[in-house]
Amino acid sequence: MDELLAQFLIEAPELAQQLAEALLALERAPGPGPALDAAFRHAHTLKGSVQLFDLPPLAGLLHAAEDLLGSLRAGDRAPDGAALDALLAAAGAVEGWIMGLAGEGAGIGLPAGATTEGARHEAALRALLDGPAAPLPAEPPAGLAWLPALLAEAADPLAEARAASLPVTALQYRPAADCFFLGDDPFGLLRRLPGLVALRVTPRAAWNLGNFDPFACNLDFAALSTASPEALRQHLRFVADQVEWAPVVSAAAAEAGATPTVAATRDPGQRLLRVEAGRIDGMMDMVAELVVAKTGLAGLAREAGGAATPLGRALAARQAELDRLVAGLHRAVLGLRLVPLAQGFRRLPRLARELAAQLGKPVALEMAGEEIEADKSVVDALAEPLLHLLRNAIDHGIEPPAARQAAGKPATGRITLAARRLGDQIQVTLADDGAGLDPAKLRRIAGERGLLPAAELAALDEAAAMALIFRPGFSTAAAVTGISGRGVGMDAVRAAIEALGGRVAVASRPGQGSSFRLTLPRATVITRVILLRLGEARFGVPIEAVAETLRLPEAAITPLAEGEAFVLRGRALPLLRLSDLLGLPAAPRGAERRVLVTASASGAAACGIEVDGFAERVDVMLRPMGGLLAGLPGALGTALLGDGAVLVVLDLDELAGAGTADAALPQGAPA
Amino acid sequence: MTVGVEDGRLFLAGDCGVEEAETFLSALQQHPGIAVDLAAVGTLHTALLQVLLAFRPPLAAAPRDAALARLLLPLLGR
Repeated sequence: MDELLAQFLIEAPELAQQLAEALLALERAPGPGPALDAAFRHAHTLKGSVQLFDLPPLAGLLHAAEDLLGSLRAGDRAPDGAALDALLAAAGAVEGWIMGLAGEGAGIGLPAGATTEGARHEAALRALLDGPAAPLPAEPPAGLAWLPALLAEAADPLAEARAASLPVTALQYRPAADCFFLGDDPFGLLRRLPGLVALRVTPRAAWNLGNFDPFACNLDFAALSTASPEALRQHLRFVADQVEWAPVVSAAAAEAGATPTVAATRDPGQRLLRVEAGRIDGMMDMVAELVVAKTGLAGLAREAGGAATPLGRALAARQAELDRLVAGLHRAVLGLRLVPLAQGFRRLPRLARELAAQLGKPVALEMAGEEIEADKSVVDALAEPLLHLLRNAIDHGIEPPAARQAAGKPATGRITLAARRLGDQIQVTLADDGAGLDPAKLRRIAGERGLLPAAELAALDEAAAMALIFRPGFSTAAAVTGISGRGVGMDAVRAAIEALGGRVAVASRPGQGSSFRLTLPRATVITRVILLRLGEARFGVPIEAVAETLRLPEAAITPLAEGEAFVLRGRALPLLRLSDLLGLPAAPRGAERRVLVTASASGAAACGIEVDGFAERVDVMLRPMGGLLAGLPGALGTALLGDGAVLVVLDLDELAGAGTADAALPQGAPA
Repeated sequence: MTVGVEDGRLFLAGDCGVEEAETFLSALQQHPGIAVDLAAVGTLHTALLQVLLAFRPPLAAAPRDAALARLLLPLLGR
């Protein structure tokens, strides 16, 4: 049972989500088609799994939803607004309950009130079912009438068999009513059918429960098998007169035009191997250790005499090969963790629909770039900030329809969510065509809330004024609404994105809308760092940030009024001491000063930074600062060294920038 | 004994043949609403399947035999 439950808790949320997605797709394209088929199939599958457990409200609700979807599918009823509203409401309840189940831990159960809520949804669905009957569907053809239902129900196993290029045979077995007396056991026989992939059992006549005869067979069986027709005939030779055959390939091909249920609607993402995230994280840690271990070879090669000796050369060659392999392995493991952004986006369309209805603001949400992949941790962590940004856009950005029309805009607000990949980063932009941000108003509010002194506020340029909304304690809502004002401001969005090693920027034009741009790393990457000594402590600096390392005699240093300088190839550079920058006690100096010259990516002035010594260069897996260290200025992140020590990797630009200070860039420059 | 009531559950266990169908049916009828525990079912004769399909009792436990569970549960779910 436990295994079943574990599997259920993995699959059910996905199925619930897919059901909701299919319903939304159906709303966009009402009528028979892949969306309706998918919705029916997901409801059916989910109902099947739910029935394994004692969750009557959930099972009842899904049953009603499936019945309604079935009747839409059969054409008994049109998929109109009323039907979709009821279905979406029901799907929402189902999803909520299932998400709750997954969080419960050991036991599973539904929240209090689920029975009432379930009954309400179920009644709404049933009411639609009992509604005015629509025109009857066309009569099914006389021969093989059992086949379409079987194929529709078995769409998944069928697609799997197709994918494996297995021939599929369908059969119907109608046992005689007195077959039990002849010693037949049709279910037992079919259970052992070679290559069985799907089985459907239907009562031949309505059940007579009052006067039930357990020894009269009232069941019809239909089955799909991937075994050869000869093997199947051999297996069923004693009941051959009761069996009807149909090769599925041709039948389904003939059907394909009319009902593309069988293969076309299958989500390509489903045929995947499910691996626990923990295992991949374990692999990732091993790769990180491998990265550390292989750097030891460089030292060995040096000790063996470097390029001067055959052994040193051989070791160096091996190291180069190992470097290449480890880098490849790292990429491959990172690739395992990549998931499409769609996983973080999928809750958004429904939220937009609900909010739009709640606030009386029609909104169209367009999404692009959902197929772009990023590390699962990034995609997961992105979902919450995006929800908040979307809420904010609908609540505060988009104007009420009347105001929009007065401003000459279409009544329906437009929100676009677009993702693109930029090298090792992804950029996600959420833009609305609403009222936009008013810098003057933002300044005023920031002043009222005492976020900055008035003089500083007045000095902010437009972009910096807009970035005020990311400050803690800022909320543009005059009245806290139930939707955006949950005590979570845009500062929470910013904090979440920065915790991922990303940044967020806002741009806006009054009357034309706002756009929020999130720039995030796709995944963790290997960084080559130089190790510095400072007293007993070691720090790392990314190698790209270092132009060169020097040993300077005391005579080469020029003391200045405030600090020191030195001349490098005709240029005077300021000399800063790392211990001062970090606020650490300075160690006594030797005869020479050890200095690294910064290479600023932005082309800002280089400077010298004095350290107590240099150690080796290592490849590390840089992790963003988390927990207590998250706000530490001047640090890029941490990395684990081969000896188990944690290395803090410094951001020289930021550290030296504080010392040499040319213009600091405003936070959240406009997009 | 392959059909029995215990702890408020109706158990089917082992190889359940056609001769059990009547016992099973009357147990279901005597305890309306009782949940059926199929955990220990080995084989299940069509006659018993038919009773399950007709009366649709709540399920207390699915068969431990994974292959049987995979085959049977969708049928009972329908």
